[in-house]
Amino acid sequence: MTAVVAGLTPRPSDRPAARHLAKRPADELTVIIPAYNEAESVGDTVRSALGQTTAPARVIVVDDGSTDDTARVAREAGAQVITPSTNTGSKAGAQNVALEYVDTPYCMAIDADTTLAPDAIERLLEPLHQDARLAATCGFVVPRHVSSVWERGRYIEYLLSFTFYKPTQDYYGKPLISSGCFSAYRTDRLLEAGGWSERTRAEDMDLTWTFYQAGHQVRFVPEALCYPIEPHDFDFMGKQLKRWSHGFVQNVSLHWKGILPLGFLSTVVGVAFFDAVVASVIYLFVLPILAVVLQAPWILLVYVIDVPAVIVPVLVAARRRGEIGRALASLPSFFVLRSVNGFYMVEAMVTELVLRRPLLVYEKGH
Amino acid sequence: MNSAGLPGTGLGGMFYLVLAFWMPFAELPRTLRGRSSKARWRQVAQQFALACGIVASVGVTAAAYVRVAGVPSAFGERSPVLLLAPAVLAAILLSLLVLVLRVWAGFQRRFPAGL
Repeated sequence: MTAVVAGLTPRPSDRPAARHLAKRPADELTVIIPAYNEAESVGDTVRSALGQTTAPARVIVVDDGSTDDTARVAREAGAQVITPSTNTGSKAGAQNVALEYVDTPYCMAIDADTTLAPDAIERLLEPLHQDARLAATCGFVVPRHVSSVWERGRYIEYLLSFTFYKPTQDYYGKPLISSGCFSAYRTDRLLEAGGWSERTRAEDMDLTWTFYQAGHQVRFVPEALCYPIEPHDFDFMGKQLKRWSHGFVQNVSLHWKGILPLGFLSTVVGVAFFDAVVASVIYLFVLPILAVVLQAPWILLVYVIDVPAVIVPVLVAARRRGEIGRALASLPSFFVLRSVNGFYMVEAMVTELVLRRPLLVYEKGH
Repeated sequence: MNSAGLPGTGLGGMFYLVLAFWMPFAELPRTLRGRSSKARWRQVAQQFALACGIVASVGVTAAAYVRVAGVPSAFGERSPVLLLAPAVLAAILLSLLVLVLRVWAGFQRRFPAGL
């Protein structure tokens, strides 16, 4: 694929990506921002990347066939813009276009609707700089806007996941996903993995598990914060849930043999998959049927049976952020989102595994 | 993609609790071998404290549910056992499944041509 680029030259294939590490690691970093019709948000993203405590060497925005002013806004904010001749069809495709122009030992992928805390890159790069075994690091994700029921649901989900689950996964050396919206990579390891694969709809999970199978490591850095814009309505949320659910099932189908020898990872994936199946079936079928058949509406309390378990890590995280009230007000939305998520998980399992009709189209849903 | 599956539910929640409770025991040998650090112990302490908080929160809520709120208990005095049984069965089933898959994958690696 040819690309129109201003001031950028592709990396020669025989040139080693890694070189002597500088004292300020962000000088050795390229930020890649894939964008499709992100004129409203990409300017903030670029400015937050360039305004870091250790600014990156360059910020590349891939304007992937946008029909709005994405390219102009990104350029005015200070990014170098790559415009592929045709739409690549996926976030992974857009990122791979930019990867050809990366000549720094580190690179980073940020979604075009995501802003960073001022020291996010510095914090994310520190472990990469210190530990050569690491292929990637990922940070703590907090929704930028917390207003609609879907944003609130995600807010609670992230506080829970990034406060309890992910640090636990990290302690045992295997964070489940190095989130695509905010991760830093050692460029040579990324190239060795073939860049971001387009074979699943969750390229970040695919890449993370590929790293593990190659013997590399990934770290979660909770101090590195990013703020994506989460889907604000059901339409956008549905697209995202569909993509994530199908992506998860596709990655399990693709990698299960490869990750089985990795004891902790295979167990985490197995538990997540088992829960996704069992909990979804219980939420969607078992509980409503039991409540009707037994004429016992209190059975529906099972939908929120784990409130006491969820609320502890959520409140701990919210207290650190001074957002106790927001967390308490958002808690019910989490259970709404989870039940809806159950529907998309079942749909993905049936479509991917039973009907053998894989989701091939990457549909943007933030 | 920032999460997978359905966070906060059933077996997964208990799995992470067990992992968090196991952390001090995993860290101790590392410390004795000189491969630990204050930062690692801070992480262990945080996750362990969270796990304790979760168990306490669930315990208090369960006690309130049964004794204070007077919500009808379908299973009477045996409710803890009956509530725990599906979780234990699920864990056993999952362990067996992972074991079978591992054996299968190992077999396929050893005999790539298949049968």
